[in-house]
Amino acid sequence: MKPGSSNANIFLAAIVGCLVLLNILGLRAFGRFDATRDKAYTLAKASRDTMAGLEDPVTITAYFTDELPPPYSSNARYVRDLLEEFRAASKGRLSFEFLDPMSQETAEDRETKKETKRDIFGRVFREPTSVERELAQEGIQPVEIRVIEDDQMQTKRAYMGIVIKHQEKKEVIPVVQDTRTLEYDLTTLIRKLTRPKTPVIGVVQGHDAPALHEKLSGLRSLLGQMYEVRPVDLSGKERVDADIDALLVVGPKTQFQTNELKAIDQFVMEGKSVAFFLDSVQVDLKTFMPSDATHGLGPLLETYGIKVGDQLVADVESAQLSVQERRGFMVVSMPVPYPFIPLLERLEGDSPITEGLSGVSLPFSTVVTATPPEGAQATVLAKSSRKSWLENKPYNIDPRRDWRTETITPNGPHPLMVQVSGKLKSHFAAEAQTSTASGTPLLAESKGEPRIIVAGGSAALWDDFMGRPNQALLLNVADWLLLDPALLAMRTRGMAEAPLQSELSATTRNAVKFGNAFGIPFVLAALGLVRWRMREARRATVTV
Amino acid sequence: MGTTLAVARREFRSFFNSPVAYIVIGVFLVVAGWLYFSTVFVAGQASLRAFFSIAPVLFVVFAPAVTMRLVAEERKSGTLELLLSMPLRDWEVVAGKFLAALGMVGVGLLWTLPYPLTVASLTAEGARFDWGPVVMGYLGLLLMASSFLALGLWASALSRNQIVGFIIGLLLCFAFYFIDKFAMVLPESLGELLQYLSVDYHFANIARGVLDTRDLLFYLSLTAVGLALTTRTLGNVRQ
Repeated sequence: MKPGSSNANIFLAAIVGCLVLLNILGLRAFGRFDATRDKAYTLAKASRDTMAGLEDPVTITAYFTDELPPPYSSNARYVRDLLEEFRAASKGRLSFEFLDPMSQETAEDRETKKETKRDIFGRVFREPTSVERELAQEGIQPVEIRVIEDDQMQTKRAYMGIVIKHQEKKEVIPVVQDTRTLEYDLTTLIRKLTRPKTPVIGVVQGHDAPALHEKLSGLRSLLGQMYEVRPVDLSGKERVDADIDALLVVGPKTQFQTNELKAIDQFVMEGKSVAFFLDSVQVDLKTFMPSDATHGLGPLLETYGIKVGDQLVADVESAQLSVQERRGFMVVSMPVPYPFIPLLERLEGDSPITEGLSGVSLPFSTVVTATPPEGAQATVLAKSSRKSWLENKPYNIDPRRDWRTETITPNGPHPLMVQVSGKLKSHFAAEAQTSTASGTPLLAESKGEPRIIVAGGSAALWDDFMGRPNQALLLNVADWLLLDPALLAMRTRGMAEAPLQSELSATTRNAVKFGNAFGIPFVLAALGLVRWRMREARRATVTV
Repeated sequence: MGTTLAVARREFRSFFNSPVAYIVIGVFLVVAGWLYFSTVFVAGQASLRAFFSIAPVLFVVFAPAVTMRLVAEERKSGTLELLLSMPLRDWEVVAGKFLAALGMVGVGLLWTLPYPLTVASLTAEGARFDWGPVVMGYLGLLLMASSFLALGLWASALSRNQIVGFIIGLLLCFAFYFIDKFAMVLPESLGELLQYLSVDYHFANIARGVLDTRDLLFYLSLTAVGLALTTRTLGNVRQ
């Protein structure tokens, strides 16, 4: 080999070596620029802090069936991207794997899938495979999606679930259908798994409020899965126990004493949050006889900018009640529309409390309005429909009420549930100065930014009305009361992709398709031809 | 630099003076355009990610097609010796040819700009088309193209025969595109290395709208290696 050649080889090897080294260094020190509009691939501060604060390993398994059709395919891609971000932010504490459940199937499973049986009604079914059983045990549910296979629309069983494990505990997202809230959901679940202390929710008892073990047993067991639920008796107290993190006031009937009001007020001033589900009328579901509730919380709430009305909201968009009627010798059960249980098609507000919720029923609700005081924000969470109206006292809430003879002027929508958050002033601000000498000083304004939710009725949380939507609402309310502001600031950020116009004519679609796919190359070819002809012409001129 | 640009200009013009550019770009536009637009309404998303997943595969074929004649033809016709006898450094010749090829790919990509414009204009009311990932996607395509072109250029320098140059280039691009697809059958540590070496893996990162220095560094390194190898091969030819 010539000496020059050898030098050149050494030079080449040095260049390659340097580049390899640079890449290895680059893996450790890197920067990134997120060009997406919503910074979709940049984790919110709350997520980054949560990941950075992880002390023990958290493992995430995402069960996604391969080759899902759109839009699910983009969900899988988004989940993978997001988990990558989580892993990077956790400095190795969080690990994840992406599994296609079908790839885990054994030969035996494939046999099981072929063997179909019939039940006594002749319906075709098959035994679940070991993978399906395992996933069901983990809490991952299959979803039926429509796919085109062999030129035919078919239904396919697909998995799109996530299991998060930390030590012995686990949390499951059974189906990831909407990725807009996924970062929020994952961060919240990881926080739940790794938090050192279970937050305590105090439910104010007494004042003839429904007891936890009676009408609110569903509430207790539901919240009990994630929080410690503790009854709180405020009688004779001026302070709520310090270890309580959030309060629920559900349906009190009798007057709160000043010291009790002070306890609630100061709890809020401490920066903690309270949800009030207040009745202005109490209803006995057996007799449908209304009775007044005089809890006296109105003035306190008005200090926070919230006013609870005293007229019941009736709505054409309502749930039905089963009413027994005697027809001759028989007693028949008839479902009748019952306007005093407004059924909300969807909830209002850009709030994590109401995001994606529909079908919530808020029975026997009154109007609640909010005018946020300075330094606070108010959001209406739930409204009755346009076809709703206000009923005056004395209320006739009998399900057998004959609406045919009545003339009603719908004047909805009416707000049924509101939230206020931010800096709040104490209801006892005037006393704050004077009482400093004796006992615990009163806080005149809130530390931090407490959150108040007020609903114009408590029946939504009774066992009788605790359907799935109401359960979800309750859980969201509890989560919202207990979350820190950083997590709340993590808005539901949209996916990077926006939908196309849905009502495009076939002509437009074809014009777009063929214009882009063939029109553009055609123009290019035409341009090439023109250029070629011009060159030929020029050449011909030169020849002449 | 001036000489590099002179070489680049000469090569770029020769692309468009012959039918090569029109055929390569035209076929690219038909295939990419049809594959993308035939599914865009099914997906219903105002996004170019489908296009950005098709284009790299096409680049595996089209990049070597662009570069295959750049050195091989000159070697065959004997004009390379003439070029190398001029007061030009080897790397200036290589850089010039590389820039011309990149310019041609750039022009090809310019012809796809109606895609995002069309899709943006069809975005549903109330939703906003996100230009960030589109800009990043194009940048990613240019970066990917540059690494493929550098490899293709080297392949073209290895043989006097254009077809051989094309096939070697195709194999190289193919390998760097699909390398991470074999990662799952290999041990984890090796799998990660292969993933890092995959141009597709780095492109996927950029196309979602995030420009990461690691991806940038990888593409620039691969391009630099390709160009350095081509320069070295030309040096051998000169000797």
